[in-house]
Amino acid sequence: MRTQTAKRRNRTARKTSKATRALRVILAADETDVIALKRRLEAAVAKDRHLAIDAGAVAALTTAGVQVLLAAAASAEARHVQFRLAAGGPAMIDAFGELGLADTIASWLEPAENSRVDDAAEA
Amino acid sequence: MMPENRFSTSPLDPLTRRSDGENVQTRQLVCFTIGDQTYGIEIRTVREIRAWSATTSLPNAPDFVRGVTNLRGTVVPILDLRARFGHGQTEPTKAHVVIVVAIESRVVGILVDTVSDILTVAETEIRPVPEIGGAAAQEYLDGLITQGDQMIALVAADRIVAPVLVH
Amino acid sequence: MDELDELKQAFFEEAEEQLSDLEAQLAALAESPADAASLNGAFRSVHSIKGGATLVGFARIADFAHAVESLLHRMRSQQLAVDTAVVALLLGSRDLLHDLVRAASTGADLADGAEAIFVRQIDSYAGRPILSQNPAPSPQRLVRLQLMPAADYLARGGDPRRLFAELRRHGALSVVVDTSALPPLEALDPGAMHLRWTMALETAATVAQLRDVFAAQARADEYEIVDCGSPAAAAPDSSIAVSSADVQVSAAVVDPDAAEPPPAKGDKDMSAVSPSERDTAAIAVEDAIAPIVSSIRVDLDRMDKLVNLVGELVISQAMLAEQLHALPTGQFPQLARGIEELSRHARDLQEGVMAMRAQPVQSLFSRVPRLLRELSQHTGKRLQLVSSGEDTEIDKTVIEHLHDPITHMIRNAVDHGIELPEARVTRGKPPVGTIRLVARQAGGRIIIEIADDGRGIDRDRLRARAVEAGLIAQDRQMSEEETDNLIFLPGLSTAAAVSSISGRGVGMDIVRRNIQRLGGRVMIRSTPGQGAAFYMSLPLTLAVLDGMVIRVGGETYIVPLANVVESLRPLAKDVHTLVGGGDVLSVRGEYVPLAHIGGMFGVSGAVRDPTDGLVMLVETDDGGRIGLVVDEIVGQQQVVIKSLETNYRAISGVAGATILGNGRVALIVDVSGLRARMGGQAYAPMAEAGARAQREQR
Repeated sequence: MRTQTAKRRNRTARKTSKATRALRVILAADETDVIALKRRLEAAVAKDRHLAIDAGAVAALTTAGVQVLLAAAASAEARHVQFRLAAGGPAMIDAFGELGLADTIASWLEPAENSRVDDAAEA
Repeated sequence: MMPENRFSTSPLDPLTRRSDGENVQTRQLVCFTIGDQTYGIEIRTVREIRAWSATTSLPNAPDFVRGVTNLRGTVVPILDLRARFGHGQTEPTKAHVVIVVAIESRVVGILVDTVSDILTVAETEIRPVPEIGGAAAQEYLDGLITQGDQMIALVAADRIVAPVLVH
Repeated sequence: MDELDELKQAFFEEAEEQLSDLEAQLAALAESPADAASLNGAFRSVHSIKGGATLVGFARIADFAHAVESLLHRMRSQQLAVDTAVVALLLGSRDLLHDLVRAASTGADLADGAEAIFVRQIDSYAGRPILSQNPAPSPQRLVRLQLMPAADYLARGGDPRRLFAELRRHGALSVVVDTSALPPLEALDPGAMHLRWTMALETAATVAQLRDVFAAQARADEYEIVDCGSPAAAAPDSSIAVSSADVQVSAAVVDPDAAEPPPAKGDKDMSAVSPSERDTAAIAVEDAIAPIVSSIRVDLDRMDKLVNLVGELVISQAMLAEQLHALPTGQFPQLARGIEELSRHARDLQEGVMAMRAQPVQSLFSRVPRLLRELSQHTGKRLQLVSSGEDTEIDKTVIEHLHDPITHMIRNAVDHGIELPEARVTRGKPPVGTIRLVARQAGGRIIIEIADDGRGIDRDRLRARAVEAGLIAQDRQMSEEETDNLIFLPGLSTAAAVSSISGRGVGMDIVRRNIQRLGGRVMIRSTPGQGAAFYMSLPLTLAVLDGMVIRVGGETYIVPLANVVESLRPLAKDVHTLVGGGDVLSVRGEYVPLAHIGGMFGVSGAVRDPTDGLVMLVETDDGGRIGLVVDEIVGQQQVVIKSLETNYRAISGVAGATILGNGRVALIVDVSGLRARMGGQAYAPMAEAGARAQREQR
């Protein structure tokens, strides 16, 4: 019984810390240096199991930048790294939307708070 | 009907050669008078010089903003420089002159009494404004120049125009 | 084997793999519904199949894959529970997809309507798709386009977004991207282009015109144009899956029971015909269908210069006309006639030039379906769009500035107006909320309405919040309409962000300010429980204004005609002075606050007693009225608007400036700004004025 209780408590603890534990990758207002962006994302994907991309400050995103983000998401998926969009911004939405990728952005959205997804990934 | 355009100026290279072959920094100034005081303004800021014509007054404007006028289809504000210096309002006539300047991509007209001529002075001839002149002098002037027995006050165009252009 | 066949072969192989993955993922999901990895995997598999099918032109497969994908998407964004029933549906759908792919690869025909049963079931889970009940009436056809940029496309300066923007100028564009060639991050050369697109464009433009658009931006081997004929003939088969579409879903989708034309054959036609044959076919189609539209592309700067020059011309001829009036009449009849003709020509020229810059508001409306789709997904509310008047024309520069305000107003309507489906049903409304978008011309202006059938404005709450925020006095009396329009005060309302993705909310006050900058007005009318509507009134063009010329003291002002209600010569008995200062005029039982422009603007010599001059009754954006006290009304005139802010700055109560026929500058009055400046006086309790008047009458 003790083991079970401990497990449950840990699970809760892990759940809350998991929410804050994601590695936040904050994109700059100007991400036109795509080589640097690629390096950063590569490092992030290699480093953590949960990535939260914050694109709220992005004012200009080129097609090349969009590609890098797409490739990063694919890489993350291949390594079972969670790739989420913590904050979008009009520049990013416009860029993705115009290129036919609105669904992709939607699929990167942060899941809701009481997410079964988190529990499952844990299990 | 349309105000006549007496002068047209263009900025010239500030560097001139002295007779001994040395390059010196110089400034070209348009000289004008208000009352019996002569002033100079950098020619680089001056777009044109026109005779005074009636302005349309602006509501709730400071006393040194006379109003706006039509400059070939553009609406341009006119500042009364005498009033800006705090020496009372000008009673303009057709003989008065408006110096049209461009500051930070805005075009503004400055009302003065007369325009005398265009002067080239060496950078070294410009003296700083003495403290005894008072705060106003410090604010509006960039320096003093002596030409013979005449003192010419170098006007800081951007600081004169600044308060008008608050966003 | 030509390139297309190779692509298809690749698709079949890929699809087989994806389908077997999908089977495994769905099986895992059936076992443990909480298995997010399987759910995501299933989504990706279907997504890949859809992309691949679109690229090679198997629209039937793509359409069905899209429906399945939407269902999976709803499941993984938590809008739909993962239960045995839906998983069973997914497994069945997977099998059908498999059959469709198999049929395409062997060239066999699959029975028509096979998907219909599944699609209907999927729809019942996912809710009705967003559809427009007003398909475009103009002779449009659906053109399929492909963009396959080479790797050095970006390095050459190419930009797909720029290309898409160009294409959008010719009609509604929907874009489907193929990311299959994107290498993994480590192997990615970020400067190279790895994405490909398939597009559908609903347009009246000819293939030649579209080719021009592409030719300017890509090499000949990087794009392909296929004409699919008129939308009606092509039916659901040729409509690209509506994913990130600007396309209003055509009428065909509304009725899933309609007989489908032989789709497989259509597919085969696309696939079997070689590129050159296709082109010939396309040209033949073009000749047959394309309307006789000849146009020329003009650089926008040149257009603007032309518009300015014409504006100056109008001013010059006005000056001439003025001078003519100064001459003794009858002395120079030829001159008079000449100047009159000149005036007419100048006016015609101006109208013609303005018309060149006018564009239909269609481009504003075409973005709305996608916006509604996003909002629907984020809020869980069901939405449909009804629109009309897309071909109403308005100046290009005005249109560009309307995108944001319209987006914000629609967001506001959806967030605060439309209720969740359950709530709507409880109130006896259909579960799907309607957003109505209407554009029309009225009185020399363009009116755009954005209406919703939601809950309307909660007046009590809005008023309470305004009082709380210190924006209005506790005891201030307001009409219902004025209360509703409180939402335009700062801090009271936002076009709220429901998800992190849309960023911060934008206040309605900013929306109104931006519309006013265009010379427009916006107001809201609401019926509690039934809905609300934004009404935007905009000038046909930014450059020119119809105004009443008035004189106050020695100064001339222009009052925009759009604001003017009427002018009157008041009688002394109708003018009342209020206790707190300020005058009101009694007009047919209403008490209108009077604005003494002379005093407010510091003009000397202006008439002080309203009965010595005239009162011009004007209306502000929120329907409030004030009376301007003027010396005299000089006339009505069309004036060219000049900016005051370019060289000076904004003045409250002044909207801009213009140059009159005599060369003098005249200021244009901003009625709303004047009213705001009058402050409390403008909102004097009507009851007090009324009571006082009654006392005086006795």
